[in-house]
Amino acid sequence: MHVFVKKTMAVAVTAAMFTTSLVPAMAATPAVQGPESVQDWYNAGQQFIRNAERMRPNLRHAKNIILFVGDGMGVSTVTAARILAGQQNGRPGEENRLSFEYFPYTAYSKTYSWDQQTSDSAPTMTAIMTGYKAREGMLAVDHLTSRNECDPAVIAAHALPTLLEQAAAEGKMTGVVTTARLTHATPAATYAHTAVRDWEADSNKPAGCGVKDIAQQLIEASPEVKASLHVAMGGGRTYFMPKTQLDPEYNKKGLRNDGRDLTAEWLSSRGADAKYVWDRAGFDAATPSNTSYLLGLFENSHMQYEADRARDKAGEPSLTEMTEKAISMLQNGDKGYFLHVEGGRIDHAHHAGNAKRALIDAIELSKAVQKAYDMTDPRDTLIIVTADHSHTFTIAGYPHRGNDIVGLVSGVPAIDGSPAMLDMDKLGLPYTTLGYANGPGWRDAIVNGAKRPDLTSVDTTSLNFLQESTVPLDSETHAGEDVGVYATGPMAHLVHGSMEQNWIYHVMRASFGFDDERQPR
Amino acid sequence: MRIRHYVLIALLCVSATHINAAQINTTTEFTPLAAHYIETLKSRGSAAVSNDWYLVRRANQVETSRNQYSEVWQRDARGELTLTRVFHQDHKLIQYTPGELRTQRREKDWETLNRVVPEQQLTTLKHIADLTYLGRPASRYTGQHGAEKLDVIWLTHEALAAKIVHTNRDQRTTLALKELRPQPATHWPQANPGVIEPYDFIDGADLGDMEYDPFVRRVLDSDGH
Repeated sequence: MHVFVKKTMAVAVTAAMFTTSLVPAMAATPAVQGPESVQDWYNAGQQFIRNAERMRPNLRHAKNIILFVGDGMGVSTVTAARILAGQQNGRPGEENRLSFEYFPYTAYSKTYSWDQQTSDSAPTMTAIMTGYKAREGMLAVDHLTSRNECDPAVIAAHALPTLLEQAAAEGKMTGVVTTARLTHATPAATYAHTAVRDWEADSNKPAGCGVKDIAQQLIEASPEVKASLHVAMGGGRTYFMPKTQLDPEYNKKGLRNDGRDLTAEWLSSRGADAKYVWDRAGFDAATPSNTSYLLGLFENSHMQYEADRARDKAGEPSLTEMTEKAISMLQNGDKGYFLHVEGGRIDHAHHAGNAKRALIDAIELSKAVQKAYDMTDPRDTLIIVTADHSHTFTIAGYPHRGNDIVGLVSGVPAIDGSPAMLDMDKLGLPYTTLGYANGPGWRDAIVNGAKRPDLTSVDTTSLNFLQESTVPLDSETHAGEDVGVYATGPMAHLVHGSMEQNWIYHVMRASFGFDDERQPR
Repeated sequence: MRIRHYVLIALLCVSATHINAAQINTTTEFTPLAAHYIETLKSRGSAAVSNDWYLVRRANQVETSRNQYSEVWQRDARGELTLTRVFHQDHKLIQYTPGELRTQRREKDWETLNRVVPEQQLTTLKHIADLTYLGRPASRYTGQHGAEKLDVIWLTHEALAAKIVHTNRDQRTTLALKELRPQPATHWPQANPGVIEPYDFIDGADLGDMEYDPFVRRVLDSDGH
């Protein structure tokens, strides 16, 4: 069903779009044209209906679940990323689909938390991983937890079991992959319980605070998680290293006050075939045949943006490559696995008001999803793709079909035969299609004492261009609208309609069959 | 207060016009040195406000300090820059990787960091005189940039601006070298590893996710407004 749907959707929507265009019977040829014939639109719609009529829910229990989270990947980010990806392939772009947009079941996820209208990544990922909405900045603890709670007994009393922990308890293998720090809020919510997301190393905690820091929680996991967590890859190396130890890639020291080298402890506590790798060469050398437990920490803090990855000093894998490696290591378990994969840097680029980097990272997430889909069997593997929250990112104006998504707005000419021209604002200045409701993109105008920057001769397609923002903030913020959920595989049909974000957990739990007597296949 | 001085330095660094390029030491290997400047802002109808500003040049590193705040720019073998912002009173560091500097458009020109005045803009100024400044061979250049006048004294051997005066109708900003040494004096503000190692580390990419933190909130407000 899954493969069928994907293939037929691809044929219906993509191939039909690119049949030879009929020459328009118009007085003058429009300067802007899509590639479709008139009949293509109708045919694609009919194909969509035929495909939908053949859809049957997969009522099996999932052996495996892969949860992808694009950090900050709101709906406008998905739309712009799909257009950019299409344009990178020489097409107009709008008709393109990211890999997960072929998934048969979708929903909107309401991302508010117990105490936030617009949330941060900690309570949102807590909701996805535990089934409960939580408080700002807190990871996998309930909303009755006090801010800055340092008593480990209190944290234990309020701890919410995560799906990763429950999968481990069921004997499944587990993995966590991210391009952010492995101890950052989103990945950390899969394995750590703490009132403060920033307590990533012991040096981040106040003196005397008894709660384990997040890096420590990863290494000193419960016996079930310790046995289950075969793959943990991302950035954040220095959070695992003592302050006396020099980073292997940079002239920086570790962040741990307790003198512990948690990378060494990973090796000593995970058996003879455990590996710790920190660069491209180490990543390439670690294979399922020679590695039972793999810890990969490829940067001292976050990994590179995908756009900058080729410039990394020691070399580091892409999100797609890490996903491939993780699945290859997990797929040999008899009882299946749970894998979380985060595209962690979409969020950071948005905070900087840098749309192109955010979109390139979103496209990389799409490639990682495709890789996961290609490596798994949709009959036994549930794949869910979602975001923790959105950003104030907008796609605005009336740009014509195929207009460069990171370019200036150029509308459809009012008279057929006329060339497309840049659209101008009230000041007579051009503007970009992409922008932010707030953030740092106002700086150029302020410095020059102008109401708006004059972008006439600015290369807005440059990787380092910062889109304009309306409200002047030094860092762009999250946004509170719903985000998409995309699902395929066993019980994927449970993803539907308008969902509370914490219901995603319940879908995954039901898919694994943890709620009833039936055993996962 | 901090912002006003950022503006001062930015104005001094940005609004230059040209010097003859041949008269400027264009080498990219800069002599290590430690410079103590006095920066002064005099606005019409107001008393002048002065501050100490320090610049320490080392191999592949430029460190500047004022008012309990330091910036340490480091260049690796590939020419990639990283920035560490040091907030001494708060015992905090904010570090920016090369990728993050590009992403946030915080990159700076390495030559300008070392020279204080960008070479490209200096080359548009007119050579007025040769002189000595603090006992060192120097040249004076002036020029007009729009309605603003720029006056620069340039230390030839050190490839360093010794004095920059930027005047417009409403204010005059001056950066004047007070002392030049091979190494910083012990009482100068320091941002070396021994000093900053105990400070808390924050990745510059994380600021947007840390607005609940009072320190981060203050930095964002200070940077942005």
